[in-house]
Parts: sequence; C-alpha cells; structure tokens
Amino acid sequence: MTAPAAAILVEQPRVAVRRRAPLRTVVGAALGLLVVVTILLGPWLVGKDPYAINIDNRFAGPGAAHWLGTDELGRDVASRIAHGARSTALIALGAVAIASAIAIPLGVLTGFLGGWLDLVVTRIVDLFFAIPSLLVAIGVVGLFGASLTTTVLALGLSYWPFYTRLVRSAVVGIRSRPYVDAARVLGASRLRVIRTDILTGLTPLVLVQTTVLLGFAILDEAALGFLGLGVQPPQASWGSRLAESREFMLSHPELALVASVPIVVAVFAINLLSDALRDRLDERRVS
Amino acid sequence: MTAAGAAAVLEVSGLTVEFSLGGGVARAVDGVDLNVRPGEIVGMVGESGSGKSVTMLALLGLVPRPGRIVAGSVRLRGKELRDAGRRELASLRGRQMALIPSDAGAALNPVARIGVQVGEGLSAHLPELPRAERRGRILDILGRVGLPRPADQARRFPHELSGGMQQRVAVAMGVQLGPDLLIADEPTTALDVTIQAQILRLLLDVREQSGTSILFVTHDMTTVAEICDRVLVMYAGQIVESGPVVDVCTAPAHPYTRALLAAVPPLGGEPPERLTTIPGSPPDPRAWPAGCRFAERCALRASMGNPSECTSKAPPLVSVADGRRSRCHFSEAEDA
Amino acid sequence: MTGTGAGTTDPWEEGAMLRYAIRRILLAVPLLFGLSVLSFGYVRLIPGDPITAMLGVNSNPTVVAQLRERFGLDRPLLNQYGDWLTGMVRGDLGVSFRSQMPISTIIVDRIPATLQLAGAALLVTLLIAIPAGVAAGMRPGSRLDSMITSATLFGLAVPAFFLGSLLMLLLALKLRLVPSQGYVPFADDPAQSLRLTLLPALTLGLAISPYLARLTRSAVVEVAQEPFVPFARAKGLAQRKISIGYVLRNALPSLVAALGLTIASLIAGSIVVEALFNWPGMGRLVVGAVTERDYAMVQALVLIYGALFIVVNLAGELAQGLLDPRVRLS
Repeated sequence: MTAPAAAILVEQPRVAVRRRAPLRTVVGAALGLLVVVTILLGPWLVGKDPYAINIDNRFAGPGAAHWLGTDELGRDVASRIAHGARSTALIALGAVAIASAIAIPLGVLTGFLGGWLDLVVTRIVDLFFAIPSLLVAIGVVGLFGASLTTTVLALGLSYWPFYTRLVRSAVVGIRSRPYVDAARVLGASRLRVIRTDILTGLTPLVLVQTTVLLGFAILDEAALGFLGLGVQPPQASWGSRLAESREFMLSHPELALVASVPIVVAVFAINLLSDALRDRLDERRVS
Repeated sequence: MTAAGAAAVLEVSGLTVEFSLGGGVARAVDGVDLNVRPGEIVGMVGESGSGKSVTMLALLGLVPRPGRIVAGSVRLRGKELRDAGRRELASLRGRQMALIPSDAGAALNPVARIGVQVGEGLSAHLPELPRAERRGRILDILGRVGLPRPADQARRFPHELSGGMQQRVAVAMGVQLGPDLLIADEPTTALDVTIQAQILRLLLDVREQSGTSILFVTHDMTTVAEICDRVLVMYAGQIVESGPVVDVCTAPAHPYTRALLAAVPPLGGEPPERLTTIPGSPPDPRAWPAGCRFAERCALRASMGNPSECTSKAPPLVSVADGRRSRCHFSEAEDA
Repeated sequence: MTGTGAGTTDPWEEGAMLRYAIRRILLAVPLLFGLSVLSFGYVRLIPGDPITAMLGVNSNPTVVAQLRERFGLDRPLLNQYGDWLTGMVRGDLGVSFRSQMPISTIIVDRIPATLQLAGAALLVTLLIAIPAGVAAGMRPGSRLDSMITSATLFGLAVPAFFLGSLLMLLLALKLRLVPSQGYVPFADDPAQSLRLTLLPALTLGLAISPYLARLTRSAVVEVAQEPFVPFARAKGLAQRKISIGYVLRNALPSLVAALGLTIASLIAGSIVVEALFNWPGMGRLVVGAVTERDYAMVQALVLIYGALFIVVNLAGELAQGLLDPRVRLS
C-alpha cells in the first residue's frame, strides 16, 4: 500500500516525533510525587490522631490547628485524608494484584494454547463483560459484607474479565510473530517460549495496564465508599470519608469537596503518567 | 508526440519541501526542476525515501503536516499554484490535474457505492449538471475504462470488485473531467502482471484519445521503459538524471541509474543467477552530505579510487547530451 | 473475494445483512442463558444460607425454615433453576426476600426513572464528546488536540459524585437555578420532571464524556490516516465533504461500538448519580438490596442489568452491520 498517506509514512525519516518531555508528563510526575509523599509521610507530617473525636469543635474551618478543618465529629480532616490515603493505596494495589494474578496466567494460557480452554474462558469473560464492573463489585460486597478486605476482593474480581481479554489478545498477537514461530520450529519447549518471548512481549502492556487499573481502583474504592458499600466508617479511607461527608452534603458541602480533591489529584497524576508511559513504549516499538 | 517548443502543461522549478520534525528539519525535496509537455508521459523513478512521493503531493498541494513547500514554483498551464488559495486549488484538483492512486482498494471510500464515488467528482466540479446527465456520464466513463456492465458495477461497494477493476474505477475517476495532467502514483504495484499490463494499456489509450499528459511515479524501471517518453531519476530529494527513456535505459549517465537498471531482471530472458542490489541505504534527510549524496553507495566512485571531489563538492545537474542531464562529476567517465 | 455474478448485487446484499443479523442474534442467546445461570448461582454462592445471612445468625430457626420453604430454597437446585428460568421467560422474577412483593413489579416501577436519567445523560454526552473527539482527531498533534486530550485525562480523574456535588452546590444551592434533588414522574408534571432531571443528567453526562471523547478521537484518527482521505482531497472535494462523507462516515461503525461501551459506563455511573440525587431508579434499588441483603432482588437486578447491556450491544452490532458493508461479510 503506497497511496499518498502511506507513502508519506515511508518517505518520512524514521525519527521520533516527540523528544522533549511534554508538559503533561512533568505535571503528572509532580502530582504523583505529591501523592506518594502523602501516602508515605502524610500521617507523620500532619501528626494528629485521625480518630480523636471533639464534638465541641465540629465543622471548624481550616487554620493552623487543623489544616483542612474538622469534620462532623470534630476529627482532623487532614489527618483522616492522610491516613485514608494508606488504606486507599493498599486497596488499589491489592485489587490490581488480584486482577493481575487471575488475568495474566489465564490470558497467557488461553491465548497461547487456544483450544477448548480458550473457548470456555472466552465465553465466561464475555458473560462477565455483560455486567458493568461496578455492579460486579457491588455483587461481591453483597456476598461478603462491606469492609476493607471485601473492597480489595470486589475490585480485583471486577477487573479480571477486561484484563484477561486484553492479555489474551496481546498473546495471540505475539504468538503469530515470525520469531516465535521460529523459536518453536527450532525446538524450544512451550514453557520456554512462554517464558522468554511471550512474557517479554507482554511487559509493556502489563506496565501500562497496571497504572491504568490503579487509577480505576482508586475511583471505584471511592464510589463504593460513597455508596456505603466500601470501607466502613469510622475506619479512614478516601471512600469512607466520602460516605461520612455525604450526610452533610446540603449543610456542609465543603466537606465532600475537600474529601474528593485527593482522589482527583491522584487519578489525574496516574492518567497523565500512564499516557506518557504508553507513548514512550509505542515509540520504542516503532523504532 | 513530444512536440518540442509547445508550452509545457506542468513547469516546476526549484521545488523544495521541508518537514520540521522534533527540532530537526528534513529537506525531503531539494530544488526539483521538471516539466511535462502536452501529451507526454514522464516517468519519475526512485527508491522509497527519494522524495518522489513528496514531490507528487507538493504538485497537488497536498503535502501533509508538518511538511511545507519552502521554495520554488509550480505552474500548471502557466498558472502559479503556490499563489492559489485553498478553494482554488481544490477546484483545480480532479479537474485540471488528477491523481491515480497506487492502491485503489485502499483509496476508494469503503462504505460508498462505486457510482456514488465516481459521481462525487462530477458534483464537486460541475454542480449544475442535471441528475440524469450525471448518471449518464458516470456509466459512460465506467464503460470507457473497461468495466463490464457499468450499471451493475456502479451499485457495488469497492470490496466487491477485483483489484484490477478497482484500479480501473480509480482511472475513471482520474480521467472523467478530462484533466490536462494525470499524476499516476505507482498505479500498478498492487496488481499482478497481466492486470498491470492492462492498466498500462488503458493509460496509453487515455493519452491517445484525449492527449492527456501523464506524470508516472514509480520505483520500477521496467514500467518506465514500457510506457514513458522521458524519465527523471530521483535520489535523496534531487533529480540525478533526466532524458528520453530509450537513451537513459540504453546508456545511463549517472551511476545511480546504472545501479537501478542493473537491479532489473531482463525481460523475457532467463533471470540471471543473482540480481544486483544497491548496497547501503540513502543518507539521512535531516543532514544531507556536503558532496554527492550518492557517494557512499557509488560503484563508480569506488572503481575510480574514491576521488575527493565526490565527498567535498556537490555535483550540479548538467547537460550531458541533447535533452539529457546528469548530476555526477564523472558522467562521461567510462563504466568500470 | 466476492461473486461477480451477473446483476445479483442487491438481493445478494440484503441476504448478507439478514444472515449477519441472524448470526449476531443467535450469538446473544447463549450469553443470555449464561447470565441466567450466573445470576441464579449468585444467591447460592452466599456462604451458609441467604435467609440466615439476611436475618442474622441469631434468627429464629423456625422462621428461617419457614422462609426457606416459602422462597423454595429447600428444593433441589435443578428444580430451583428450572423455576427461575421458566419464571424469567414469563417475566416473573420471584418475590423480594424483604418486602415479599413481586420483584418484577418493583423493578418495572423503577425503570422509567433510570431510563429518563440515562437518556438525558446520553444526550449530554453525545453533544459534548462527539464534537470534542472529532475536533481532536481531525488534527492529531495540534494545539487543540493537546488541549482536548489533557481535558479528557483530567475529566477521567473526576468522580461523578465530586462533579455532582460541585454542580449541586453551584447551580442549585448558590445560584438557585434548579432544584437540588428529587424526582417527579414525567407523566405527572413534564416541566418539573425535566427541571429535576437537569442536574443529575448533566452530572452523569459530563462524567461519561471523557470516555466517549477519547474513543471518538481514536476512531477518527484511525480513519483520517486511511489512504482514501488524501485521495478524496486529490479529487478536489471540499473539506466539509471529506470530513463528513469520508472521515466521520467511516468512523461511524467504530463510534457505534464505542457507544455500547459508553452506555455500559452510563449504567454504572447512574448507580452513583442516583444515590447522590436521591433519584428513585434501579441504581438506588441495587444499593438498597445489597445493604439489606435482599438476595432475590440483587439476583434479579444483575439479570436485568446484564440483559439490558447484552441487548444494547446487540443493537450496536446490528447498526455496525448496516453502516459498514464489509462487516456484514465477516
């Protein structure tokens, strides 16, 4: 195919179009750093007990004593957000770990071996695809009751169908590359092919997908929390903070807004970074 | 047929196209001069990366971003196209100069029926044409390019036609408004040999019947020898040799042309043990070498003991015989 | 690739579309069947027994036994599934463990509210996301594209409840342009019903827009790279004609597919938005059922949501077939 558009691609010198780090990546890295610092050092920096109730000092505005003010029970909001960041990070990482633990082996096996196993798993994945992932998560919460552990499980289980499908199609793509055929013809064992060619080929996809899913997990933890089906108050998490503030939505809307800001910042940072990562890996594949 | 002295249909001089890419500037086309006379078929030959496709797009005013024409002039029937506005250019394209794409299967709109697509050109350029007459002209042109049962074919989608038929449709779209100049972009590469011959025949018929000039862009010397009157050989953004096809093919003046011809299997005869290929690859368009751009890969230079002129001084395009030009310091040197 | 038989183009064509439609519909049947098994199995997955789980461990064993009998939970599994399947076909989804009312009646009651919200939100999304995605995709790498891409990356990070709280605070509480919460059936008072729909629909529509905008952009970018676009220019067609007749027209099949995904996000998003605005739709029902451990209700809702989604996807695939002659043949 060498019609004009295609010709221009061939005729253009193969140089990377984007060399300098775009503003988006820099902003993403800065915000990401802020989030990581909050998770690691936040509780220590704020230095307040997130569970200390002081009814006389409820709904206090921001100030030197309480950086972000106090909540409906007079607890320090900054401290609750900083401690909550740890639960939320734990949930997001745990959920992505569960989804990966199911999706990567399943996707590699079905994509590589094909056959009846592939057929059965693909049908099951299709079936789960028919149910919105938030509903799958809600269903799991229904089975085991709302808690931090259930949230991890629920989110992990709601992501595996989509992730499995992605891994499977990537593996099918890699398997049909000439060098993989060559390796098999040369007598490499299946296990060896999986270990060397398939897993190396999958790494970029897994890297990008992991970051994307982390963002989803943070949003969904918050959504479950908001619905009262996530981490249960008084335990601190970004989601439970939303559940608490929701009751005062009309009288003290600032509580809900302050509770949402860290979620927006964290997910925005992750989106920017995963986008940059994807561009970077695409670029490497081209050259 | 190459009536000497007749006003050229297309006159290009000093055409230069640059792409700004992430800090660097790639000069894909560097000072190209060419002209096409009425009824003439001119071949433009080069490897991919030689700048032939960018030149072709520049003639049509279709250089994609981030590229732009930075210098030179393109005159169609005496009219300077670089001064023409967007609207004016669009009204020239398809009517006075038309493109025949390399892979018609990819260049036709996959979701529109053939008749509708052929009609688009008519309604864009002749909006006042009555419906019935437009339909008549669509079927007429489809029949003229050799589509059996035009009325049936017009109702089909592109993917329902064979590659050869798709290419005929593309030719029909190119010639339907009687353009002065047809730009054919490797119109036969996607086809098998017998169909290739049919399409070339069709182009010759078009020239015969309407006196249309054709600029034939290709990488294939054999095709050039079959249908062109004159040939331009491009390398690294420049024309390195030009002249009548017979002369260039029988006695190439530039070592690059010689190498291209050596890479062609002889027609009809036994294929040789191995075809010569040109070693190495063209230089980086972001930093053209100071001397001859072909020096690195040049067999003549190697056989002459690498004279320093080749890498220190850029050779000009000079006249080497009547109607023939070559860009080599040693055009007259004997083949080694 | 295809028959060049004499003058058979049109009948052959229609046959292809019909065959394509039948194949797609047949493929949806096992999916619906699987969904019925999944939703049935869901209640049986509950550790222990659903009635005990609902009433608590200290519940009276005789009451539990009575309820188990009433809901048929004491019969063999296969019989239970048979009843579930036949009931489903007749539109009978059983009775709520909690209110003991027929589930179909409760759900049918809630469907109009959810459809009204989802429909209005879809309208908002289409008006925002399609133009934004097309504008960005037509000139990839341009300043406008970069701005729109950054905006979608930010938009993807903004949860619906945050957006909703913000809009509620601004438009309802501060500016008092619209009522903050509530629902009136459209049939009762159309004007008030629409006024009340505005805020939740805007929230849900805005929240979903970044997804659709990104999907639109990539569909357009892909088509704009096809050789038929520069060829259309070379034919001298006007830019408007190329944008609409070539780029958009060829992106349309992928856009329809993207719309299926968008509707899925819309359904998920509506659960949250209904909670925020006290909107009495199916989303509120799901959350309430899970909180109250009304498993019969959860089971029925999983089925309804899944079936809704399968039907939406099927419609998308059929539309794709109508829009792209090549799809029909695959």
